[in-house]
Amino acid sequence: MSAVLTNTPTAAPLHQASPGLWTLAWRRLKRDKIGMVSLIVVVFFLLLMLGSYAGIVAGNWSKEVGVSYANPSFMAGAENLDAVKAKVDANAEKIPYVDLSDIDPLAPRYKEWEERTAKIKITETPRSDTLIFGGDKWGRDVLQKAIKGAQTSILVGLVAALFATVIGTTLGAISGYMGGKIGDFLEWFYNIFTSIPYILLILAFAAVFSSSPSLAPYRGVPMVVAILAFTGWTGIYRLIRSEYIKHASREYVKAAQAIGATHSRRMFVHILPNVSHVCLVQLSQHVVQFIKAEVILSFLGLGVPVDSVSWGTMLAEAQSELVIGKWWQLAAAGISMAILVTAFSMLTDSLRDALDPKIK
Amino acid sequence: MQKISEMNLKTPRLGAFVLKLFLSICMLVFASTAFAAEQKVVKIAFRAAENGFDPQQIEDRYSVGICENIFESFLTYDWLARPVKLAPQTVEKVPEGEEGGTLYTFRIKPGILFADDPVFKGKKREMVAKDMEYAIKRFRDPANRSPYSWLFEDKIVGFDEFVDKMKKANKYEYDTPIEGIKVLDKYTISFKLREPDYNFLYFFAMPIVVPVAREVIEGYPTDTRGHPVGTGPYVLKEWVRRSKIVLERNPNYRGHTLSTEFADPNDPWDQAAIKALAGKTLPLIDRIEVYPIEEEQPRFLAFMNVQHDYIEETPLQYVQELYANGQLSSAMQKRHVQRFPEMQPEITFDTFNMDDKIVGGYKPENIAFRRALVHAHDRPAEIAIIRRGNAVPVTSPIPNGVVGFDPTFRTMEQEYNPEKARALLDLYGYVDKDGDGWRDMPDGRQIILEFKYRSSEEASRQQAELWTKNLNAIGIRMTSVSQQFVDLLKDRKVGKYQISNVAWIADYPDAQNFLQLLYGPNTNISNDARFNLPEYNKLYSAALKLPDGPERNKIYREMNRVLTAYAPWAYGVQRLFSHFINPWVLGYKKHPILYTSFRFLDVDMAMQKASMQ
Repeated sequence: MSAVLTNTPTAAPLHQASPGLWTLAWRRLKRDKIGMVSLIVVVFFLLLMLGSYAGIVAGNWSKEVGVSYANPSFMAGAENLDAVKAKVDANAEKIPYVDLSDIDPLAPRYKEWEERTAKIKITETPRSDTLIFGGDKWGRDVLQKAIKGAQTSILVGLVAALFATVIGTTLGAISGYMGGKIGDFLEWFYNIFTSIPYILLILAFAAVFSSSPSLAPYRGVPMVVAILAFTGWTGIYRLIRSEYIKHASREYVKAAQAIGATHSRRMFVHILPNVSHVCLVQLSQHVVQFIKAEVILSFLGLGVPVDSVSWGTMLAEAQSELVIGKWWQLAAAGISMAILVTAFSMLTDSLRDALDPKIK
Repeated sequence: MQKISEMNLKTPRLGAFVLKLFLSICMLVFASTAFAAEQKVVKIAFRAAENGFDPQQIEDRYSVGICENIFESFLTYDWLARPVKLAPQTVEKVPEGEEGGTLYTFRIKPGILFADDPVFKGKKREMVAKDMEYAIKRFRDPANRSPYSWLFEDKIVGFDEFVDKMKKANKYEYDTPIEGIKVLDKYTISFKLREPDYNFLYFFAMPIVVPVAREVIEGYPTDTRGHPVGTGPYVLKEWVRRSKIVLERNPNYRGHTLSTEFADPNDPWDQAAIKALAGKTLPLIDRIEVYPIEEEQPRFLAFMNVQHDYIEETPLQYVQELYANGQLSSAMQKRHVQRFPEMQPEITFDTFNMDDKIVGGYKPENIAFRRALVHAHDRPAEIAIIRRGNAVPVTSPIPNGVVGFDPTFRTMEQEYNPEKARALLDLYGYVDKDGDGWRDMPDGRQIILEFKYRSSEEASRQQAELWTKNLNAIGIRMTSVSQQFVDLLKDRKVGKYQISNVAWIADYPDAQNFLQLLYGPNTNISNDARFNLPEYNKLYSAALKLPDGPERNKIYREMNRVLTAYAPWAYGVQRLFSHFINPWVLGYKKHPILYTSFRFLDVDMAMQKASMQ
């Protein structure tokens, strides 16, 4: 009997902790099939990005492995531009070279130069006529370019969204929690930003950044990130502010005040965890928005520099290629972007559902 | 436009106002359709936006192209003669140089009228010699900031002294006479030069060296660019900046004819032009609508969709859609479109800033560095891929089609050869010193080159890509910056760049127009490379004093050799442009120096109406 008594099962449920916000959210997300598929796609892209960052995939994207506009392998046999180059080479005139040796300051070392030249041999790898998903004008593999482009685009999207969320959340917290004069001031500041159409604002920032010589070393990806972060924080600010206004007068905040917590402690240690699900949803929403914005900026020539690649520069190049019937670069960049953006948006939707405690 | 602003907007009763509005719109629509039915209209696109139409303030080809039709220079080119030949336009004949080529006297034909304008207060205004004197003086008025002031610098007796005096007095008095510019009577003007200049007459065929009426310039002091009033066949009817330019017939214009004297009997274009235009009083087109479209694709598509009558300088990447392997595409054949190929007297090149601490300099190691960059630049790829085969490499600054071109000048130094480039860099100590995998200067400084290119042009961006790629291949780092065309021009003028891509087209068909781009004293004016080599400057001055001939060609060859050795430029290409013309456009023939063809054109209206949207 005694054995039975000691084995009483009633005690266990009493001691089990109730699941937290995040555990519940994860459980809800797991039940959401679309959400899970989207999550897998997004994770796949992120892994691809890390892989390309580490040089495991698409490390050779800038190698010219094919002929100019090499056809995709499923379209082998279609005409390509190599014939044009061959014709140009054949046309080179055979007129004797002009002798410069009497006036050339380099003339004394002609012989040395020649000897050294003879020692250098640049071997050119043979170019293939077809590539898996076709080649661009220089003969680079479009598939590898799309992967490398994903790295730039996603990196820009993620980092810019992170910065925008930090800016939006901080300002929103201050404005919502403090209110009064500071709140008014921040509201004014916010209004200035929202009174200008978004794309125009981005272009204005881009123009200022790119024309300022002191910012020259930061041109390219860091500049695009800064532009997007500085223009994209407004929506987040607004949402966080309203959350803070709501929370500032709740009992748990009053209680914290009663035990002597400082303002900043109340703002960021007590309230922030309770509104963090809003931040997270906003973050993922902005990633999508910024990936698209980067594409627009690069398309307009204000984005990443010419020696790197992003989906935006690929689309910009595709604009003129499409007219001459070379559609594969557009397809590669367009499809990968469409998949990622759709998956990310769906995931955001699911996250919002999962994280909202009011929805069961 | 006029009609809408004249409407009485103060009408108190709304009903009456609406009625009036309705009636006037009806009238406007009726009037315009009835009118349009008898007007010959030509619609085309320009490749770049215009800047304004004050001839003495502008330099871009597109604004100058419009000025060609509004203003008239003293001389012009015979429309069909090739190679080009000067012909009188508003003067009685092309003057001969007197006093050893230092004195030129022009006699204006009497009775040439300016177009009507409110500043003339309803009176007809005749063009006289004083108008040209005024225009020439305007070139050096600091207020106009003319990019072509170099035309008249160090040229006319007393002009430089006059400008200096005005600068000191801090004003610019147009009434003060200049020794070398004499208005002999109402219709006669003469110019006395400091030294013989055999290209001087060409200046007077430039569409910017044209007489302007002082009343007009002073009547619209803040907007002379928007109020061009000339003696030419057209007037500016409507101008929506950077989007639409409308020209209409100038009722005061006396008319011109097509000279057939120098036509080539074997050239089908010449024969077609003669058939369409000979013996008629020109112009035949009543209205011209020009749409500046900077983006290449929409401009191309506007032609493909039959919105424009013809397309000039078709973007090279699209040409093969219409014309490949020596024949027109089947779609174009069905439309009976014709192709007019044109190798313009132009060159493209990449200029190095000679004052720069890395790419500049005249010491052997500096020269070696530039020459290595030139060898590294893959010009065959540029021609095949960026220009799609529609270009030929140039070997000197003097392109085919201008006087002084030397077809036998071919140099090894400007040919693609990355092995030689590497060897040369190794030889002069441009090797990796700090172990980061990139080459450094012989003294250990890092090399990061910067290439500046024009932002709205695809070919420019590709050029930047190609340079970056080629230089990376020989171990040199390069970044690139895109800029708006206007900003780029400005930066280049003051030397705020390292390497940049340029295209230059002849203002007049003589080698001097190209060689002056490297003449030392032209730094800050037109010498963007800031190249200043005493040897070269001396040759340039010597060539200036000689007429065309073997003696001058010898000097030109010497100059070409010097430039090849010092390499202030990496030579690019001369492009082969294709213009496509719809079948209802009659008499089309593109002139190599003049930009527009409206004055020598006709359209078959029935066919145009049936085909165009």
